[in-house]
Amino acid sequence: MTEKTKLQRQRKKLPRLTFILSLIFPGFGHFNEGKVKAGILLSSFTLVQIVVLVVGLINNRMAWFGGVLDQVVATWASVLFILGFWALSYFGIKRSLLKQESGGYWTRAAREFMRHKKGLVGAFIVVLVVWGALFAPLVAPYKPLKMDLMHTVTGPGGGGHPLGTDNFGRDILSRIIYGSRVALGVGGGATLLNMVFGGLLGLLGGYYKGIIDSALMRFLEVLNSIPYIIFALLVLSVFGAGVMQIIIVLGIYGLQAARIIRSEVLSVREEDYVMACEATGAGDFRKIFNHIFPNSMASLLVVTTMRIGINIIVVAGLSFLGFGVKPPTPSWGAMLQSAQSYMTVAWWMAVFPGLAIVLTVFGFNLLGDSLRDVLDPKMSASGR
Amino acid sequence: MTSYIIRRLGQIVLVLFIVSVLIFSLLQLAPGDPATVLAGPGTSVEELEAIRQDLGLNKPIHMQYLTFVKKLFNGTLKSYAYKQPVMSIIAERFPATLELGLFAIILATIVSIPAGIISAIWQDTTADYTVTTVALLGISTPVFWTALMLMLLLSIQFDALPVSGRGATLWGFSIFTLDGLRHIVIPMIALSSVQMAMNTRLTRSSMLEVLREDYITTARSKGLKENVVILGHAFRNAVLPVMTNVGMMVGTMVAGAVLTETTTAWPGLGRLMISSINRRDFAVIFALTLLISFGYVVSYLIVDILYAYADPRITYD
Repeated sequence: MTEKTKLQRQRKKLPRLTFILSLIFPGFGHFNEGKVKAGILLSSFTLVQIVVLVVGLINNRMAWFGGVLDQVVATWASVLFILGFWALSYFGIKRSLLKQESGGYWTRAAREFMRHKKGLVGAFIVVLVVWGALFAPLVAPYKPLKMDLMHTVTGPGGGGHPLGTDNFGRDILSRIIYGSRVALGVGGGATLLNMVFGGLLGLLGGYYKGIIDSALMRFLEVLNSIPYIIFALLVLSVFGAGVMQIIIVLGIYGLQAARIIRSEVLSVREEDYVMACEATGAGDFRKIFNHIFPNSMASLLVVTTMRIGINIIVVAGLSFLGFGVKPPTPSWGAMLQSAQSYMTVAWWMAVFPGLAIVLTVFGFNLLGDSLRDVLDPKMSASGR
Repeated sequence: MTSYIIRRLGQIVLVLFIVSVLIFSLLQLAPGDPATVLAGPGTSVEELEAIRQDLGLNKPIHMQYLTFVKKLFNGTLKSYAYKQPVMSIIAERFPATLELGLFAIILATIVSIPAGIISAIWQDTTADYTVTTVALLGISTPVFWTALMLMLLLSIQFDALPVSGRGATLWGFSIFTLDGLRHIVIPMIALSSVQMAMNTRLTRSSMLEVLREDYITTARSKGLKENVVILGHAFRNAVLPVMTNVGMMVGTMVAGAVLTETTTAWPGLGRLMISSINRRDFAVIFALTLLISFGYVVSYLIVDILYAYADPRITYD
């Protein structure tokens, strides 16, 4: 056995202390291996999750087998998350010891991303918002519809409401936390439609060219000649406002994504490897899904991330105009709409929901910008 | 070039036709009978029937569409709610939106281009980070919230500007009066904010791309002054995509105007649109949507044509 393979054998074995530490508390094993940053991240995430679980248990907010669905989901999710952190700690440290220096495109992109400060900040914001939406019943101090009639229109800090209350005495912070569900659900749902159908249309148009392509382009042109907000308002006023309707309207309008995918496909399909594949006698299906689709994946991911931000803003705008999610369901846009009548007396009603929108969209945009830098250097001129 | 323009105009007519059919069919699907809305409560069945007859609501749908379009073009299409010709209602509110949009575009352009250039030539400095961060925040902020915050800060907190409305006008424009000028500040800044941010990002990336070209190195090695290189060589080549974006702003401003005008009670087309949708005033909705779409596609065409004039390398065939 040569020295080198021996060394590799050895490295595959986890030091006993690291193994035990990683099982004692997530992240502790990382400290032993000198990976302080990852260790701090893991252990602090676990700690926060445990605190949420314990506080939920003390305040009797858990619902294990029966009750409101979102509460049951949040309860079980918090347990699973903690277990998941433990598993991540163990397998993460094991894997990092085996880590090879090179790796595929995505591995390298991921490593590059970890060095990208802007991207990490964006990812942190996005994770925070998604986390808040998932664990809303455990994290929010009050129920979003609970009215504290002793403290209506109370400023931040008054009556135990950190960000104040609205005209019905409902806690602003809790409503913002629950409102993230609407924002992410509708924004994310619409984006999913955009990407699945837009991506499919773009693939078909870019691949087959000819009549399919020109039909697609004409369709997008018609769509593009009506401002999105007017299109959305018209459709919503006809079919009624509601979560599903908004998702579908934005889903249709955002088919614009097809344009970007199409141009990507147009350039990819002329690449040598696609030609080579064609020469081996591969069919359309195989060419599209084995070669063109994976190679368009990077730009699809970037477009998706940026699109979620846009869609969240549009949903807020529609709700602000009264065509979106109907009250009393907490949504950021509707909160701002009701805040407008109380502008002179309650600035906090207008400030905080707006900050929530800005922070969330900023997070997605940061993430999207950085993903573009990491995944697709040719798309960004600055290389950063 | 001429044949290109003619072909594009043909396409525009086709697109507008499809848009008009689309809008008309959407309006047909809308719940609520315009006649009932128009007549108000307590109208007898006979009167309702008369109104329907008058509006042509009893005819088959394609005939209704044709009447609608015909009336629109000869100017006799009447608003259901105002009982006035649609065109005069739109014309009455058009200057307000035109003025707001125009000044928002000017503001966005004069702020964003220098900001983008500075950010590009001083890449990776504090100035660059500040500009890019502010620009990213700008595209992450909804226009109506910007308007709300400006109102909160400038009007309510410091009492420096009026909260909403348009104020006094002279020859249909508010910038000619001091009162009007005070009123336009908030909606103008709010409306321009997103475009300002987007255009800054675009100017920056466009400049960065050009600054890496060989001819910039050549110009520098010739011993040209840095100002001449930046403005004379780099910016001239980077300005094309920026120009396109400024042209496109005309279209995107419309969307922003709906929200800004509603928030700040600016009496323009955006507010008219919202109130018409709420009142089910189909005639106004139809005419306004077509008009906006027309403005949209024509602005695209103008941008494309200017493009060819600005850059002799571009030809259309």
